[in-house]
Amino acid sequence: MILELAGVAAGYGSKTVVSDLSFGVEPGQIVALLGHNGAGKTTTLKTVMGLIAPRAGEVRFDGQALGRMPVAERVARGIRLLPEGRGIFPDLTVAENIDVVAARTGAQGAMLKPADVYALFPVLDERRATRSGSMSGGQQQMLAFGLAILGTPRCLMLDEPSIGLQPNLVERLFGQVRDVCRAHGMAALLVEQNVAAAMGLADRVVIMNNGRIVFEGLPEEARASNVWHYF
Amino acid sequence: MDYFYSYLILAEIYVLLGLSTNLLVGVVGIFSVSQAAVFGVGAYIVSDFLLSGTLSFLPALAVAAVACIVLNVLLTLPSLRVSGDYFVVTSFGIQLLATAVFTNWTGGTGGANGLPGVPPPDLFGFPLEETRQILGFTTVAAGLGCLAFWLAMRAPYGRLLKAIREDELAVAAAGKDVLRAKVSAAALAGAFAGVAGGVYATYMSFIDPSSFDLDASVLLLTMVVVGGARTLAGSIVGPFVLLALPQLLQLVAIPTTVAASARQLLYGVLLIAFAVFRPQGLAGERL
Amino acid sequence: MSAYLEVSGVNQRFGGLQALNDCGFAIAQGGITCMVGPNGAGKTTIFNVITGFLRPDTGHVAFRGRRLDGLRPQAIVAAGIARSFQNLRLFVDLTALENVLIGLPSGFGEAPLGALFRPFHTARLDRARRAQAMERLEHVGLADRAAEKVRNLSYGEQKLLTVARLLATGAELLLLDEPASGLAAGALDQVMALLRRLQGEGKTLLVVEHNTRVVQQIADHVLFLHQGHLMAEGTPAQIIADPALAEIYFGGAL
Repeated sequence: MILELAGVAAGYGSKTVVSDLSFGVEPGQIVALLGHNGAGKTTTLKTVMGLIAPRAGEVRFDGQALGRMPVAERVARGIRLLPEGRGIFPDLTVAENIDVVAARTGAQGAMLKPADVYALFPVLDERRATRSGSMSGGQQQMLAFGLAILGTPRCLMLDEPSIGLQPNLVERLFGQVRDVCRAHGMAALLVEQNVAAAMGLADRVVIMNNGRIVFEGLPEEARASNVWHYF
Repeated sequence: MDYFYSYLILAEIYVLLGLSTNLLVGVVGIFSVSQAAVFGVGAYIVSDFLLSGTLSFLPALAVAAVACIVLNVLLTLPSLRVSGDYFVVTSFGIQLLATAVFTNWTGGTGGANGLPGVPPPDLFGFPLEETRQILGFTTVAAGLGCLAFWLAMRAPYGRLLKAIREDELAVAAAGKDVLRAKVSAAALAGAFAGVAGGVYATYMSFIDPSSFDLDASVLLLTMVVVGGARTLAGSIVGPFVLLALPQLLQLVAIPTTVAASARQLLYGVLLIAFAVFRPQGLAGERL
Repeated sequence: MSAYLEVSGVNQRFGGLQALNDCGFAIAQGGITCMVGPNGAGKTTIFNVITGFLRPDTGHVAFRGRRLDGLRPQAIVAAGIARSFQNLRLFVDLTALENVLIGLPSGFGEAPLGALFRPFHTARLDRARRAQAMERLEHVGLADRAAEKVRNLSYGEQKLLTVARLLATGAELLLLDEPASGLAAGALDQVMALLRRLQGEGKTLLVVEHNTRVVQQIADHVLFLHQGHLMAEGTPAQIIADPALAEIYFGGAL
């Protein structure tokens, strides 16, 4: 297991949003985290990232409990989050965005480099000098994804990456996630409302309802099960 | 006892200023650091009319209020063009400019020497010379100010202003006139500051630029932060707490020479402490 | 006869980028028109032009035969066109009900003098407005969340709330920017049912949407925008079956 949650509970203020979460992700594996809006998926990702502290249980990465490790340290170890909404620097140009992140994520060996991002999204190549905040919503989403995979994280968490993307780009982006996972052993934890696409991509499926896990298993088991009334 | 009354009078005058600043900065989100300049203009206008004997107190106060309405609208207009950080810089410049005018235009303001001997306020020919009479007057004035703030905030108008603070573009998309709402809020804030200035001048009977400088503007912001943004309670608590502190400092035996800087130091520490540890202030919301 | 909404010859440049390039189309009253096209095709930009947030370099927008040139956003809402935003732009510190109240046409007590000098009149009229806003919330199924601050609503509820706020304006032509994106299947069905119900109540809808299933299910007519220009239009079936469009947009079956 590269990432493992054991009995994790978390929330905001006096409200506990998720509780008793236990599941794991293997290297090279894609796990889809599904559930209705408000089921606690984003809260789960934020807890792994260290943006909120767990109230109970433990998040382990590469066998080591993360405790209250700061976000930057988690990133340095290879955990990455593509946040819901857009994780870009809107006042920087496309190229500046990519260079800033590339400089922080190293460039050894076979890891994904800026050139790979431009190859994946040619429109970003054309817009290198454009202020990123002035691009269309979908283009900003492409850039955010490009930033998330730079340097090839060991565990990439994607929070609704398909929002606002044209259909064929969603396919291309998902294909890219699969390729990186297979080729580099990257683990991926995918939160997605496009359930059909996510199930097609994932090796395992975790379904949440009201802050708890109600199903965990293979996509075909999920299809055959009776969990769909949760959606 | 007079000592305590004078604290109450000053605090009530600053409640009017706190309402003015809270309306602009807390409610609408126009981050002005020049509210003391408007306060000063109100004070000088009333003083000049009373010293020259041209107008009596209430008409002078009315003229000051109108002048400060116009002035505050003009000062706020840049916020329609430039937003956020840039407006703060613009507003900072306006405050410095105002201090320069107060200090150098000796004809109107007495310059750095100030204007001594401003007559006490009078109501329809009855001068308010006793401290308790003035306290009664400021209590009524502050009470009316609070009532106006409360009525405005609970009306659709207050809701509109709060929405503008959150997202101007969405307010425009909902079909509202953002410009008109902002201008009217600036006008209301200007009226409060102008009246506060006039009352302040007549109560103190002496004014000089040091009461209307950048420090004074920052003090007003500190009152909003410490009291709490957007609430009536916050606008009242802030001035009462902050003006009580110098009084408490006097109980500690420190030389008068360092008292002023000790006060500034204390205000600064409070501002930082509240911003970091209690951004909602004592009785309000986050700025 | 002139069309209900007619956009003609609109050009818009941002620096070196031609965002809209001789963009023109018309939509009929009473239908649901979906606007699709690659990211960056200019869909949101044309929304901004129609609703007065952008003044195009050239071209015109006419609504019910009347030119909207140079009108400010609030005048365009008054003329009967309102829009929602991709990123919602709700007032998150206000309650759900207050958000809808802001959407209602301006009434008494929204200017300071009325609020200060006729407080009882203001309060009475505001009670009536609250009842009206409550109806809009009921319309989208959020009545039980009325007093909740928006930041505590789920994403699906927030999406429904943007529609309620839009409805409150009383506009007859509603422009919706990705109303279904990011919604789980249940909430998605809710939003689609709501849009169809609005059509049944006489509203005309222009919807930007990437979800092909949604487009197939709700659209009477589809506009395909590419590089700031109307590249094709037709029924959903025609557009989806077009091999050229599949190549640049739809891809394989999702």
